[in-house]
Amino acid sequence: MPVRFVGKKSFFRGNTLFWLAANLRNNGVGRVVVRTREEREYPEKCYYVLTNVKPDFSEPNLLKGEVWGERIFRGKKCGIQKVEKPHQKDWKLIPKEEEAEFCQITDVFEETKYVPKLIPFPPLMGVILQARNNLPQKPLLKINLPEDAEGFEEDYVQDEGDNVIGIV
Amino acid sequence: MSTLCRLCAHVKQFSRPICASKDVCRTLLSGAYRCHDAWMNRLQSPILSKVAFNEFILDVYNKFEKGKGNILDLDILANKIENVHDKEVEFMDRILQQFRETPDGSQVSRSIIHGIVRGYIDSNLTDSLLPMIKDKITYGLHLDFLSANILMDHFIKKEMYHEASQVAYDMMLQEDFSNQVTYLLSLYSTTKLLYHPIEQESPNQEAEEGEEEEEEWEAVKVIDYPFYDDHFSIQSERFLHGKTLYMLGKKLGGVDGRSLQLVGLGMYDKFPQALKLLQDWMSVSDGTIVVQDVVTRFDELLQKALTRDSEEPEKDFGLLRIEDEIHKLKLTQTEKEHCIKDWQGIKERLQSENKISSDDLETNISDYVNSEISQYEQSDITELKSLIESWETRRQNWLDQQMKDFIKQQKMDEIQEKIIELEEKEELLSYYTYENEIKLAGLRAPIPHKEPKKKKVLDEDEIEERKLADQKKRKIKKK
Repeated sequence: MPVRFVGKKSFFRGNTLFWLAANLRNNGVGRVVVRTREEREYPEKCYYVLTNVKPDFSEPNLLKGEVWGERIFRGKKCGIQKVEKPHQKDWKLIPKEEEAEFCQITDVFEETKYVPKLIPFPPLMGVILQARNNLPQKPLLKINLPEDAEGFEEDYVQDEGDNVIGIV
Repeated sequence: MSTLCRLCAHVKQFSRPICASKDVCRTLLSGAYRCHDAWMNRLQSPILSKVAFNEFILDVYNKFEKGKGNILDLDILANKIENVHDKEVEFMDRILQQFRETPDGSQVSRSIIHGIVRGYIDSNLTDSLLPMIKDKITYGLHLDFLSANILMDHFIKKEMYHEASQVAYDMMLQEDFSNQVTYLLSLYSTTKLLYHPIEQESPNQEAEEGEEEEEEWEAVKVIDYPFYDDHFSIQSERFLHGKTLYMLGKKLGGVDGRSLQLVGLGMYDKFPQALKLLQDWMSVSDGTIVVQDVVTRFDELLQKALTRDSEEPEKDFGLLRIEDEIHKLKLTQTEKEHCIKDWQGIKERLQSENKISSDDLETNISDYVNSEISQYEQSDITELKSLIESWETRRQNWLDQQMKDFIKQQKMDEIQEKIIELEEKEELLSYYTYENEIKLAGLRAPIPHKEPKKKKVLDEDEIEERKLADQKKRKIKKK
């Protein structure tokens, strides 16, 4: 008799990381694993190289435990991190023969944060300044980013236009 | 024949007969590979010599049932496996399951696995061992190279190529043939199985599609997608055999390696990949490419390949099973025809350009393995001897640590008892000094909560008895 499951469709396509690790010698330390969701979402490479895996076998469905791995997110090396959501059935093992090719990082996602050049004054102050200076509209405040801040110029870019585009 | 000649000298080294008949035995590894003397010497160590297996297994079983078992118990037990009976196999099975659930069980130690493999081989219990090795989640017996070699060698000696290939599949799933002896033994056993297949029960035929059975609906919170990773979730033995042959052939190279790759991909139902590889080889290599036998086999496999209907309606998500995912990987009729057409062209080209060798693949592989294997034995023997020594010292360390912990705990308990005793004494001696405080503390102490007594539920007989007793009392009162 065929059984039809009725319920919410799972979004994930894969196995749990604990299941994969339990099937591998030395709990899969050194192997490359990928979250299929990240693979679908981002064009850049996202994967983990496992460094420490501690599955909890006392759990009946093998859904608990802790995993650490070297994280590569969108082509950027993030160092050794605790793996998030290893219990979700969303993990895929990369075959050893494909590892070298897969782990070659071609694209790196560079995040640029835009900050506005001009921002509005606080409401009451804006009204007072407009009244004192007889301005046709409320004035805007020009903000200067501190140039001496370390790494500030790399992370933030000021919008060239005079329009206020929002606050980051 | 040369291998047969080495048999008699080899069999004499074992105390119990390994083969049922001497005529059918073959041997690849020498008797020294198992390091029999070093392995038996470990039994004379002070820890193992004091233990009797049949009694100890019961103790360990009870300990693990109470959740008090530890790695040292299992390590000693695994190293003392001898004269195992059916009941003890069940105990062993249960102990390993329980151990897997402990924190140490997430990675079962090499010494335990090695001890179990050797013990089960010596007790002729390999039938029970193979299912345990396959079920990695429950038992976690990941074979190391040396244990795998000993196990495969044991099966090969008995000409149990199917069982030996099971170990090779395990190595394939780990994608690790870095040990040369493991690689050669896997190559030998899988090739032998290719030429001496065992009769397997045909899978149950699917129910007729015409019959419409009533569906059983089952409510679940989330319906998991039946993910087929084409590796750990392979169910068909033919696929496992094919993938192992492909992997081994890739490492071997040459005409034999290419032949193994071709037949492996054929068995693994990866015909387009096989044809692409063939075309690559033809463009690169000038000499012979594959052997005749493999060409015939691949032809047969391609002709017999199962197909799927390209216009098949997709199943409902709730009815999807992993079998459906496997079915999706099959070729469609048009793809199959295209493959056959390509294959015919390649075959004709191979024949016209004389790129098919007439060698016997089985003999070639046997000769290759026999000639190569002896040179890699010595390094493994040295490693195994040092490992046995290191396991011994580690076991001693574990025992010392356990003894230290035990003594520490005992002393802590003694001190605790003494503290309680002294406190009571002090209270008695200083009662009159602190009389008021003690009385006040007694008054301030919370009153222990008493649980209300549960009313006894009476049976029908008891109710009747009580009724009769009441009636009697009333009558007496009236009188």
